[in-house]
Amino acid sequence: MLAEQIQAAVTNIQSLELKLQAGPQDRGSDSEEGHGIGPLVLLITDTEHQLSRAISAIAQWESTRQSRREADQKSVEQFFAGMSPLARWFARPLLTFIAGQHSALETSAENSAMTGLNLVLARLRGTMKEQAIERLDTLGQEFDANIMHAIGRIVTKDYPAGHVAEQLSPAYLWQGRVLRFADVRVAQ
Amino acid sequence: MAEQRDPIVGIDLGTTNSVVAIVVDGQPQVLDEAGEKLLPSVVGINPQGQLVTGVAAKNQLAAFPDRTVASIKRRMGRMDPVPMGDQSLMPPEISAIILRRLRDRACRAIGQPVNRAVITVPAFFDENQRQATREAATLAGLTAERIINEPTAATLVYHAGSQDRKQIAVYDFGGGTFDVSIVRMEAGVTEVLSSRGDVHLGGDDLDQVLMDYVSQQFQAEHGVNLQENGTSRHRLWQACEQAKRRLSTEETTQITEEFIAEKAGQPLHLTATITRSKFEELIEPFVERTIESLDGALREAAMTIHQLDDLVLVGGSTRIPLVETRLREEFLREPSRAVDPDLAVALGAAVQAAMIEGQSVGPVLVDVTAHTLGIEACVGMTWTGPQMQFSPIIHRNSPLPARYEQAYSKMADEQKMTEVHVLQGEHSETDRNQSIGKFMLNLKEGGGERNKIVVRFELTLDGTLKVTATQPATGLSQELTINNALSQFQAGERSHAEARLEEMFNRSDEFFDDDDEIGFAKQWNAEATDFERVQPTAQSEALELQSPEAAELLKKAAELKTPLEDQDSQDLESLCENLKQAINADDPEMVASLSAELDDLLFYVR
Repeated sequence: MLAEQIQAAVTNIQSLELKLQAGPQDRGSDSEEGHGIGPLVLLITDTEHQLSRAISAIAQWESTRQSRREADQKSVEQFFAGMSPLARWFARPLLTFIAGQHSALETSAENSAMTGLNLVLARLRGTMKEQAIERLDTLGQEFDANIMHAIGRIVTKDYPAGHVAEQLSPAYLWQGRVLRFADVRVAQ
Repeated sequence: MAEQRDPIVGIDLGTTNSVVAIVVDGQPQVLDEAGEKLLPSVVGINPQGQLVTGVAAKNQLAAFPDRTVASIKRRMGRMDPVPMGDQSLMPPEISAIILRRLRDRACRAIGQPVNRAVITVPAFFDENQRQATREAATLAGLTAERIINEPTAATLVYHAGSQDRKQIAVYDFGGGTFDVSIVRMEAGVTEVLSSRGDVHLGGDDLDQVLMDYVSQQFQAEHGVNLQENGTSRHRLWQACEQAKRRLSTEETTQITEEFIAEKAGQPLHLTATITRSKFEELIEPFVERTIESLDGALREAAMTIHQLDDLVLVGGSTRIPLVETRLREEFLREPSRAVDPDLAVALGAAVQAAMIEGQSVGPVLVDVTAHTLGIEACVGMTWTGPQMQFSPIIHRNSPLPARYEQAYSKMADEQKMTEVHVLQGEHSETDRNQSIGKFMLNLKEGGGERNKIVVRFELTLDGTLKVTATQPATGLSQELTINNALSQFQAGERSHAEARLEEMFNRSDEFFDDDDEIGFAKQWNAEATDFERVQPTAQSEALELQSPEAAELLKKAAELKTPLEDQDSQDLESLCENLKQAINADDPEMVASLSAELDDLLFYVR
């Protein structure tokens, strides 16, 4: 499933690259006079935002799962520790088997899939750099209305008041011009 | 302060957004700033203590609500101080900051000082509110040449220069407010007869109802309320607002937000399909409220729908197809909506400004469809068979380029194909419209989703119409491109019409042939061989003097050229030639003989 998603993302990015390499006449309204921002540029920023958000969510999910696995393993070990020495001796192969299962899970295809997704993202960011599309992350920065759009406030001690305490989406610039404001929550 | 030669700009000082426009070469234009036509009507003090307006102020509104002021228009007329950071300002002062920004935008755009403006206000504004607006203009360094009602401005966009008496309904459905006015125009004077509205009804309500529906669906499936978490709610709102916009042209849209929430450590994704019919079902109560207001405004003006000459649409929410459809049904007329509904009021204010300057201004010119385009569809069954009617897809007066999708159903589950017959016209009866193309779409049999057929029309500025018919459940699709779809005629019919007219021109005394030289250079003698008709020359007049009867016969012969058989035509030509020579040779006997012969021939061939 994840492999299919990666393949689809790669295909999309290849298509984007082809369009960007094509002449301006083939790019639709990218080359529109004046202030027109082409749908292709917006699509790139959307794709980058979605892909990085997905990677971040998967990483977070993976981290939660890892914590749970560790907690499970600890419980098993505690359970075995509570057994009599004889019972522990007899149960040793089972403990070895369970530990083996855990390590097998850790080195499963998901790690490889995550690596693949990160490669896709790196490739997309390379394309963005070539096209002068810049991503700006704002977490912890002082609020700047020229590149950020506040959607609310948060009471927190982690960041000084008036600084970005949560970033929902980053800002994107194209040729120095704001394509998309960062959606943020500001520390109160 | 203001010099009489200064240009006058038109300003729509809105609750949510403001716009400035000016008339150039008889046509009003919106003055933008880095491509942005709308200026958010928001003012604030940033963390560095500087004054900010427009997008920057709007961006900081949620972060620093105590340092930012929005919707000041709602407080105009009351002299209650409004806190903004460590200062307190009066409502006209806040409005003055917005006006000053618009004035600077105008100065930059036109490259000269701007000191005078026509400013629009809602029709329901009282004298205090109007005076406050005037004061705001003065504080911004502008002379308010006139304060006009927003519906008056909207009316001017479509009817500037008209001296006829007209009664017009202006339906203004914006992002946060709704109002409707009945306006009477006569001899250049516009009067608001009645005005009704709801200051808490707008596009935001439509977003909310869609959000509620989608989040309920999500909760039913996953047991998680997306509106409880601030981040999920914000993403849901963005997705729903975009979906609402897409449904203005598309029949179905997808809402997809990955990793929008989590449950028991598992990520949850939002995928929802929204059809236009579902969205319309959700928003119908709101649209009905606007229709009721319009009915109320009509009653207040002591008028009926039949007395209305036009219905002008203003405000972004009028882009929603249901609004237009309901108004069309209710008022039995095609609404005026060619001009961008977000800019219409400012453009109208600019028209008024130009009129004060003494410029001649006509209605705003916008490329629109001159005819309604649609397909033939079955609307019911009678004992004689299916009852076919014209089903409009792109309505007359739609701004170009236009794009719209409409869903239809198969007539039977086992149907294997359907004909898409594209028509142009205004009649519900198919036969009374112009056929501009047809094609077949193969279908897969089956009920349910396979019953649905979506027809998409895309009309470009140059009149090329692309019609795509799709069976979404199977992906089967077929398309037809019609060039020159805005023309009255199909290519074949046009050539037929050209031939018919050419023949009529040839047979008429009033028209020249393309080969003729202007100024009657051709002589009677030179033309006599091909029987072309020209105006009488000096020589033909001489012929008439010498032998009026013979000249009359020659005239009749020339008129008979086209309908004659080849042999008759040759005989006639030869006889005419001989007769002319006889006249020129001054041979009365020969003229008499040939005239008699020609008279006989004419009698038989007629």
